[in-house]
Amino acid sequence: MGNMSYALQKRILILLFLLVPIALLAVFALYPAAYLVYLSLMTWDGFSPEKTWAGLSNYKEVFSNKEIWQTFLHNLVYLLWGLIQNGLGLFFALLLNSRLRGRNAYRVMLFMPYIMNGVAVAYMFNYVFNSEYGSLNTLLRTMGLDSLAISWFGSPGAVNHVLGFITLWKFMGLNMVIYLAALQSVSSEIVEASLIDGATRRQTIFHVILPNITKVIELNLFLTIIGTLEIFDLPFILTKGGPLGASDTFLTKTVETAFHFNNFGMASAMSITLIAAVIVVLSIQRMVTRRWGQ
Amino acid sequence: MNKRHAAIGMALTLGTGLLAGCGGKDDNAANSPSASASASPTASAETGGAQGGGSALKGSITWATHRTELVDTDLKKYVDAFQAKYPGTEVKIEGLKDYEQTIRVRMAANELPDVLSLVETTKPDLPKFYEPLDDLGLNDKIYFKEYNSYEGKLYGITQQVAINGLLYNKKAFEKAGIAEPPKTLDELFADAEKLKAAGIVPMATAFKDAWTLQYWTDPAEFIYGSTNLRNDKIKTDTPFTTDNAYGQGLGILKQLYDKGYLEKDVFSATWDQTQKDLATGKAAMMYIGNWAISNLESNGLSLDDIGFVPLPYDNSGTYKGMMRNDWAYAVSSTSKNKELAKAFVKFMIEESGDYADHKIISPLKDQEQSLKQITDFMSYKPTMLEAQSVSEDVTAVENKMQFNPFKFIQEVTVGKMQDVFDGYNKKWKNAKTALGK
Repeated sequence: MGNMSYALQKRILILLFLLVPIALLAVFALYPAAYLVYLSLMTWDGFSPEKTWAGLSNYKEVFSNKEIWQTFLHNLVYLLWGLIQNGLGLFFALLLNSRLRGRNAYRVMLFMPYIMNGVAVAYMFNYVFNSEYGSLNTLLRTMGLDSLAISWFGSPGAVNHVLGFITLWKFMGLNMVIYLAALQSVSSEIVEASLIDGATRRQTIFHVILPNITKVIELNLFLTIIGTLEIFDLPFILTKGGPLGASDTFLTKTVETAFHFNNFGMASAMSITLIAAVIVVLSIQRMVTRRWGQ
Repeated sequence: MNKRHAAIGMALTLGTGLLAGCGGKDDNAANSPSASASASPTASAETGGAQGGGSALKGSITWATHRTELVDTDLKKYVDAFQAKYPGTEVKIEGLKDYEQTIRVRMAANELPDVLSLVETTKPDLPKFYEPLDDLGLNDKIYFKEYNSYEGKLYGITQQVAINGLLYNKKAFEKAGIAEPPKTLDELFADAEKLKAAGIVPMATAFKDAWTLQYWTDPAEFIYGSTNLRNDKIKTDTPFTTDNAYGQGLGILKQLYDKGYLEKDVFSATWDQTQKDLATGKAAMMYIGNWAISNLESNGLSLDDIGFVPLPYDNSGTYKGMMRNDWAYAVSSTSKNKELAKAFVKFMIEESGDYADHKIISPLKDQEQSLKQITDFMSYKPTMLEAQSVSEDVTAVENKMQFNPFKFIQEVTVGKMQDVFDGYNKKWKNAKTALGK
């Protein structure tokens, strides 16, 4: 040991320290990911010992199957609601960043849905939107708005919007809290300076505060877009993709392909496709926000 | 596919008694050597010996089951009875919530429990995972022998038999002024009209949950005359036409829907709610398995008010009934204590009293039925059909085209039949051609 150079000792130490995290990473992240790529090139039913080589045919099928791509249209509806969710989150963050009486109570209230278990949220809204016994339709009927009391989970046009609304309700608080943290990090000096220079509140927000938190807006959009592309639990629990596939998302379709039709090869190919789609969408988003930031 | 699974979980309530088992015991001892002579003599001798002395069986096995809600109650009672009969043995029960997925993972890892509920594979794969059960001497005595057989060997024994029929609430019929259950298809529609006028949902379907709709292909098989309907699809490129068995059979459900005899909003009708509605008389009829009788009972409807008759699928006055199998008992091919595992399966089928406890139908053909609803059903003298497993070729094509039978029935019911059939025929043909079947 004594005659080892300092540089060598340092290197050995670093390697030893890295061993554990890298081993964990390899076992729980890298190996499964590599295995997913491997499976996507195979034909496998999920239980039999043999897997047969399929090459790129799984991918070809994913890209040529119209039904699979149509589910992305459903994800777009969630994206729409996700954008509204970001707007609302920012709005409430601005509101609750001002000197408002009881603002901590409001913050807790708005953040609460995010803490709740997703399955519990799904069941709760199942009661709200049930067409016969649900509270929403009961309310609409007592107000005499019978024509509006439709089957929320039963009409293909409405179902994705209902689900999108539920995601908004659940995740708005998270967006708000992140925005709030960002707003509090905006130095009060520049805000005060702009006010002294005679800027209105609106001008302060748009020209001083928002440009200072673009990174965080980008982060929130990043989270929202990933969330909408990978939406799974709500449609899976509430509608099972129904009525007649109108609320299938890319992931429910993937899970169905794997566990219902025992086609693990194609399901793996769909997963890889989703990862690719996420990367593409996010790079576009980065490019756009970077330009806007400058 | 998942056809039976949802059904089974709900088919169970409590009860007691090992009476039925005692009667059967002498029988077994007499029968098992002779019936198993054709299979493997050594194994049967051991099993036979165990029947008499109970000393040959030692050691412990694991029993994985999907009936999680009964693990600590009834199933434990059966295991206790088994262990009392064969001292020195131990059966560990393992209730699995997400049963099929868990077992499939273990299949891939080659770590199946000794005794389990058989998870379907392709037929040639059966010997890879499961042990033949021919030496139990049950081959000629059970229903659905063919379902889990391959090359003449039996790999699984169904845990119960279900009969599908028209389940109805007698009080609801009374309220609508209907004295007798419908005997013809015309009467069915006429009764539905009366029920609708009385403000009762005539035919419950639990449409949203969809698995409850699977039974509505039964009329198509009645009209076809056999349960080969699904497998015979392989012979044609256009399996679904409006004038063949599929069109006519599913047409009954479709007419009920078109005339407004199903739930008001079918896409929010769930099984949970449907059970309650049937029990309270908000809904009157449902076409479903006899196991649902106990569900209505546990929802508060008296057994005397539950009717169960064959579904009239035409106006001829002759009837057909569909028998469906359930999860099957199987023994793992990698089990280290196959003799004990097999003895346990035999015990569960013949002696446990499971069927009587849970008001289900025993897989043993000569077991007398005590439930009044079943004897009523049989008094119509229906021709009984046994459901069949889906053939390998048809499964391959259906998986390739991503055929979801539940969704298919939903689409046919609410959509335009011709269009839906055209779409499915096209997918069927493409998948079939792609696989070269």
